[in-house]
Amino acid sequence: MALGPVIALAIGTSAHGDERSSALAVLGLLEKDTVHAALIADELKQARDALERATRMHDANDEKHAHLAEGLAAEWAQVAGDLVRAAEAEKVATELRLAANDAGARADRERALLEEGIARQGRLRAEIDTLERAPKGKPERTSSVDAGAAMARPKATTDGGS
Amino acid sequence: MSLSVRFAFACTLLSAGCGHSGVVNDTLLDMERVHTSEAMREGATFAPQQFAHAEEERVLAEKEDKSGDATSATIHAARAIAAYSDALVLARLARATTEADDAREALARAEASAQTYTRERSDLERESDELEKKLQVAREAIAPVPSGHADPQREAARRVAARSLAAEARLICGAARLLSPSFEGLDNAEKEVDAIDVQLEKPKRGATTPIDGAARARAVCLGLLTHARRTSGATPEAGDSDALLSELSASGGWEPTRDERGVVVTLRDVFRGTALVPTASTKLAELGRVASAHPSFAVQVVVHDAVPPSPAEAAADVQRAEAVAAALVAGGAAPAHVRPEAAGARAPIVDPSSATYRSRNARVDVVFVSPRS
Repeated sequence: MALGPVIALAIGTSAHGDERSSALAVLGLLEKDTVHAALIADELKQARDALERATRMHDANDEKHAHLAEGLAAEWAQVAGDLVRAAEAEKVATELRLAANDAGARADRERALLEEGIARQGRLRAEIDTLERAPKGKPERTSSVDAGAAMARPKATTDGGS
Repeated sequence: MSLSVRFAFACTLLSAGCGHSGVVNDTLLDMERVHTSEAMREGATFAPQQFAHAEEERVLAEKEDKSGDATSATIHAARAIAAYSDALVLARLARATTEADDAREALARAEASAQTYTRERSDLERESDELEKKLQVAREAIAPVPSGHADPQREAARRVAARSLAAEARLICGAARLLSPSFEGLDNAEKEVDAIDVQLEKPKRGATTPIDGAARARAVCLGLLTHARRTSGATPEAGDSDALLSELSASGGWEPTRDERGVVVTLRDVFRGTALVPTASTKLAELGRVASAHPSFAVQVVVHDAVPPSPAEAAADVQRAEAVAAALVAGGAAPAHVRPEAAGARAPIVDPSSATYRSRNARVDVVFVSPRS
């Protein structure tokens, strides 16, 4: 389960509370994030170690140093939370880059098809021009004699009547 | 921040709490190493706020070190290290966000381009389709040069050719009607052939032989046959003329041929009067079985004469064609798929003026009309 946005919200809202509580709140959320568990394991351990150290300092009535150690735990919890946000942002960037590459390839393919279409249209126009420029005068005769001559002189041919 | 630095810090923190002053310097050294690392420039640039916070912690660590509070110095140094680490992480986040924005823009640009190209291509294809139609019109405008008057010998030759073309047109239209009895355009095409026949049989004085019209009528009928085949819905497997031709050739004695209609089997010496001779009946029964085994083929029966028939002979030819059709049906052909026709002497296969050979023109064609081209 990815908890990036929730963690970001938790870090933001806990900034004004006491540092132990805010560290514990953020850690509680981060430890439920199974997707980024390996990524933030070291930071979570640092935060937990600092909290344990703070507890021992409280037990020893060393409140000043305990408070500093709790702040340290909150710092590491924040690093872990920001790591999750960075990882998710990188994932989004990667997905968008891949989508942009795909769309670019699609655009290239469409452009190639468009160019093919332009070439086809050019060929069609050229063929139409050629046909339209073909001579449209009086057709050449397929017979060697005209109608009147044929009626008057039925056997007078020059092509053997083939 | 590397794991080794964090590990060193953890040891330091634990030790510092026990009052070993020497290890404080190690944490401060780690802090200094992180602070001066090359990577921190990026943190300072992209996460200036967090970097400033780390710097504050670093100053406090050094101040506590100087004042002798080793534990405070160690913890502040550790906090500085964590803040520096966070600055680096935030720099990664900023970089990823920038990359995502750039990729989003590139995606939008590419999609817009693809859409533009697609739209332009669509318009272009529409224009090209119009041009195709225009080209078709231009091609049709350049029709063959009309045939003019010729000398009587040539006119006579043209009449023979025109009769043959008109007869072929009628048979091809008949084949189309077998595939699709009410196919649009067939009525008009057959009327056109009728009109050409009238012109051929009763030519007006001074009129030229309608050879161009006969050729056009044949082309129209052929076009209709092709269209009828396309709309017949025959599967690629059905109506395989090659397979039927091979089968008939292999079975021996048929000597089948092919024309535009399909596979043609020619029989001779089929009739005595208007009745079938026994050998012909046997052969036709066998062809009826072939028709039954290939139900996607229709069967056109065409009776041809050696010489132009008299009206009585023409009527007898119709009876002969019907007798052949009946024999095929008796052999197994579907009655609705058999069409008898009489072509007279209009479609000779040898020169009809040759007394020696013209008897070859008397024949019966059994045409297996293919439902596909």
